[in-house]
Amino acid sequence: MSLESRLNRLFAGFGYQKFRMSKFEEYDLYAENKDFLTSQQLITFTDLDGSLLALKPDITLSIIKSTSAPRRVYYNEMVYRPRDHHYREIPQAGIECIGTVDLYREAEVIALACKALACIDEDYVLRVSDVSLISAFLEERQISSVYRNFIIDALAGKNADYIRSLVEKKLVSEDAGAFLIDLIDLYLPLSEGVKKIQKMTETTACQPIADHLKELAAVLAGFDVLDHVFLDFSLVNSMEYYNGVIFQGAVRSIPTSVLSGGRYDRLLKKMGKPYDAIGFAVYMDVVENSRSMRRTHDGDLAVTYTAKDSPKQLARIIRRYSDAGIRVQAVRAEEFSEPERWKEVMTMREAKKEAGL
Amino acid sequence: MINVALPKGRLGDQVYRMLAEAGYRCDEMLDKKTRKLVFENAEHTVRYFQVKPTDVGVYVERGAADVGIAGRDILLEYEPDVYELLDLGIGKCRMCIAGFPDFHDDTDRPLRVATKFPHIARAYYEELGRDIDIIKLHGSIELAPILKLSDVICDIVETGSTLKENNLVVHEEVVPVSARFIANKVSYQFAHEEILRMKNALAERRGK
Repeated sequence: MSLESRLNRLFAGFGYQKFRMSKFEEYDLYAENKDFLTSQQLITFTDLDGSLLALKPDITLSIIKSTSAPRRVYYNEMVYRPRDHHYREIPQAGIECIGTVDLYREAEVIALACKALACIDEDYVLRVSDVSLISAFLEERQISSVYRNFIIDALAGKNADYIRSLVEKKLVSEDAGAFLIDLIDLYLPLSEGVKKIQKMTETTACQPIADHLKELAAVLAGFDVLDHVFLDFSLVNSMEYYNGVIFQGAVRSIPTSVLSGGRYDRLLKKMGKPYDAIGFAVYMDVVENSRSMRRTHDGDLAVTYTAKDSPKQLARIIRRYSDAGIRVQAVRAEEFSEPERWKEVMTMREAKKEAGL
Repeated sequence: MINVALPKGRLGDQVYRMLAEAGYRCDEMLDKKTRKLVFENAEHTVRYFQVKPTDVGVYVERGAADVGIAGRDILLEYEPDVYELLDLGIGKCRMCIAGFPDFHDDTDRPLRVATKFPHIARAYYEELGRDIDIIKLHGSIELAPILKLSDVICDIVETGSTLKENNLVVHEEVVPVSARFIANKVSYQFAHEEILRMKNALAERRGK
């Protein structure tokens, strides 16, 4: 079964509804929400009535735009984004859960992310972080906004030496530096990680966030996915987009992340919807591109024939093999090359004899 | 097994010696006559690749190598999405703006900057709000101001002797550079202990 259909079955199994949409969207949607797009470059064109349209660079915005009541949906669509100086058509699958996102719903979406990763490769890891913890910490310590982005970059790159240099230059206090370095070094299974982060944040403004992560771990245990979930605060990218728990998934067989998601309540507020939201996307293109190139054979059997052979007889032979579940193709003998692409090669006469016709 | 991308040349040799001391030996690496590019040690705990220094980030970002050694200049220029786990404190130098001693910036027109590092140069001058014209070269950068191809150069300065011989001086320092131990973000998850062991071994031996 293809990955797409396995994911569809998984999401539908949890009561998510398939969301289908047009490839076109009004340009204004993106102009108003450009902060939430990974790139400002869109493929735009004018509709027959003069209105400006764009090929969708993003699925989530369109889903929220059309949402007027709580809903849980999944999708399998193409998005159009620039990559390496060219526009590309990129397949994306994912889910969005819009409404009241309580602890259970949050955990369910993360558990679904785990199960989606398991559809790609059983050997997977989902890293979880909470972006509000870092913002709360920087806020509480009143760290100058000049250094904030550098600190966030250092967290994202696990660059503890950079934090040390800030401490040396007395731009960050020693204990704030020690906290940030601990945060950089923290990479633990969620069940252990939450204990550590609770200890680290005791009596600080970050404590409720650590407590929330602990509760989340408990619910994830109920979904039996906790073994694969790790706590990692280097996951800070796209802090513009997300506001709470965020996560990113990887599998052993693919060297880059294949799934990412999180809480994005801010986007709903901005679009005037009275709901919370959480969701994730699977990078279908990354999975597809890292599939091993070497398929052993194009088919089981190639039957070679010439202009002199009877087409009627050939049809009977081919049908016999195909009915038996053998991947077979008839090939003109003069066009036949690369016999190594087939498990077996026979002339029409041999195939007829072998089939007992 | 951990895959290590080492930059060809002096820096790579220096880091290899640090790793060999820490138990990641592979004697074949020392054979200067060999044309092999991949070296694996007998215990199969480590495999080294020797690659062009500017390519180390690519090998690590795309997971062909789990870890690698790259100069800070390369990381700033190409911005690979990797973890920068350790400053090795070796291969120290400075990214500088250099020109003739009597160079005076005429803000009436864009400044012509010759460099191998267009991204770093652009970011530096953008922050200063100075309009520049980048002239991307692949080597012999010092020649550019001499032939009036550019007003200044943005390049790595180690001892400053090449500048001196060409009658050029440093005008501004852009950023200090040293070698970094980098890791692929997914390898960090799946080979966590092996990568940390190597990082700690290097941390104990790093130059100060």
